[in-house]
Amino acid sequence: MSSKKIAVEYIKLIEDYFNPLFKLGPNEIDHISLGEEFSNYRSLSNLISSSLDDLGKDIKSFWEANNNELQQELKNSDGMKCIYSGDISPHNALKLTKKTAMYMDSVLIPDPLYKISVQLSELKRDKPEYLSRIIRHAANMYKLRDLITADTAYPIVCVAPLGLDHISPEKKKEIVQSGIENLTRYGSKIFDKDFSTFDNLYDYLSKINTIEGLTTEISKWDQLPPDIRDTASLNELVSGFSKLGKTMQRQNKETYGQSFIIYLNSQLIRVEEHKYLCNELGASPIYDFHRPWFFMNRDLNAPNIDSAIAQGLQDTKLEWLGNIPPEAIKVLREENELEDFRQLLRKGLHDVKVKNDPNLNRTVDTLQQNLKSCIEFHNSKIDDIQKKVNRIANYDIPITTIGALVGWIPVVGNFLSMPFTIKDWFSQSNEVEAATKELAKSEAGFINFLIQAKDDRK
Amino acid sequence: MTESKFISYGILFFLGYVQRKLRSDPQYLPNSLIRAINAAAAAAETVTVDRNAMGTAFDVKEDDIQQGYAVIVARRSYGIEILKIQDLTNNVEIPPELCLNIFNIQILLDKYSGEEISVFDAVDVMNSCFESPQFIALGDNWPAARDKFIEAVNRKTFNFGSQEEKVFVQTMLSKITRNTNWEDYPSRLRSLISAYFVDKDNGKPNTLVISTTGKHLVKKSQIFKFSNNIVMDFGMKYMAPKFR
Repeated sequence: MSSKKIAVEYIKLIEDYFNPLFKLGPNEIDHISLGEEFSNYRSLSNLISSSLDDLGKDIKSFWEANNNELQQELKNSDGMKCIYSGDISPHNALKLTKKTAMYMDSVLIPDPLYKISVQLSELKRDKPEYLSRIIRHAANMYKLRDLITADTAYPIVCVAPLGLDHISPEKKKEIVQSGIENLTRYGSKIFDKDFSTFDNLYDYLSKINTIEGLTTEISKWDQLPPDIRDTASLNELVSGFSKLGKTMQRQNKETYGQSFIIYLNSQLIRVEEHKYLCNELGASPIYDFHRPWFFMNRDLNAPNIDSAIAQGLQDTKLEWLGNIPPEAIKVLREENELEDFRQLLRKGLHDVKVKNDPNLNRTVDTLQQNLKSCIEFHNSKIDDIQKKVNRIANYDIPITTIGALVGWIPVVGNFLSMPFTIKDWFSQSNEVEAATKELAKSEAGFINFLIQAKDDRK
Repeated sequence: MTESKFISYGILFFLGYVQRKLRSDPQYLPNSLIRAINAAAAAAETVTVDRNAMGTAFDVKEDDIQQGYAVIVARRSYGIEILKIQDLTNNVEIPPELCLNIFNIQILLDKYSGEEISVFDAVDVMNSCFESPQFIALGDNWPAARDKFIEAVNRKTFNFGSQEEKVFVQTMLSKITRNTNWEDYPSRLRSLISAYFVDKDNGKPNTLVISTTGKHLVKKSQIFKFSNNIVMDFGMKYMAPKFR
């Protein structure tokens, strides 16, 4: 089965199980609150949970039959791919796709239904929680159905079971081990102690039973993601993770410190897994919120760009095609609108990644020159695209968003970084300049995307 | 959520389940309640707007009606409105909450092949459906329960409630020995022993004990009857106060 056929069958499988959500009015689906609302009605949520009992079995069979072929096709594709990571699926997958679909060939999303119903099947012990999650993510994917099944040269959105379950046991072991080693070093930094092994770190944290105990022991708060650098936020995160652990029967009794370190461990293993997948499929990481992006950048030794710098980038007033309705995206992509732009990014990124140019100077220059002319072309096309969208959507809707792109955080080699080009495109700020200096020091091999609008997460 | 949305979601999710079952097993017989709803919906297609239609369906095993429902719907300009669902075997109206429980019980029972299931499985099914009461199967704990009960009677710590009950218990206890089979105990005495055991060791509110042994099998159709009675008995406090 080709990837297009697989995509169509995947959407059919979602419809098969979740059609009532869409039959009773797709326009009214707020995928975040709907699952929570069901869980308020015990008999209804019990019935829906029971009716979904076979979903895990069916989705597992579906991917057993189709995953190899899909992975092969993705590997062979020369399209510009990004792999999402950070949460089970993007907070709002449609919003993320609207912001990327005209600029990147494909966004790859790990199948959230597989993740919840197979990998996290223990969640079923807490029916309201399970139901809330599965409905939220099923609706999230269903909203992308036109883009998942679009007849385009590269899939605009591709859902696949990406993750530890689908890699060899040896590689999986390597990834987990690497995550644990990183965590030991990371823990040493956070607590300013020299832990020689993970067991030492774990034993140390086993003795911490409260948030107060943890905050007293943390020595380097700046090592933590910015959003959990205060006691209240850290407590909210660790307590929530600990509660989830009980549902998943991770361990009968887990101290506060153990919950904290297990959370960090999960994040660092996720980073390792994400890097592996990006390498395997020739893709770049993409995120929709700051915390997982922080962990990846930290791992890649990228500069610690704090929110002020991110804000600086956001304030450059980039006018971005970020609000095109999905039906119009589908048509525009099918008609290869802005293909030149994507082609240029595709080639530029490819050249950078394979390091055709030993010093990358020529590649950088060429890419910057090309991007300059391309952005002018892009700007000149916006009016045309606006007219097309109005015609397709049959109503007048602003298609550009200002500052929707927070950062294309560049950690490609020692030389090029996207912010160099962004800096050249747009007005500069001290923060951006500081960031670019830092970026030049980085050594890893990814371009690490964070796509986030101001109103995405509140 | 309105009552109409509530029941609509329930019916549609159950219909989806039935369709998948039929795809994998064309011989699968859907629950008579959903068949009655389907029949009523089909009948509504034949009437004009704002007229009513009825559908019925029965499950008959060996000339015995085990489940039977009548559903009355009204055809509206916007679709079909369910006016009433009647349980024909018990001759009581089925509220939306119970309707969804019946569907859920059916899905849970479908996981077990055959017409009968163990008492432990029956308890699991009931507990999955109802928050209150919760059920406990006494199973092979009955000798321990018996001993605790006799000890309490001998120590005069058991509260009989009435003189008549006291006489009954003492008479019955004098007739049983350690070799008497649990099945041969009078059912009233079994209930008292079980209730005391559960109250002593698992003292949660609204807990009911099933006093049969672990060997006992329960007919699937009995579970529907039992659950209908439970919901009716625990009635108004249990049935969707949001809608009333």
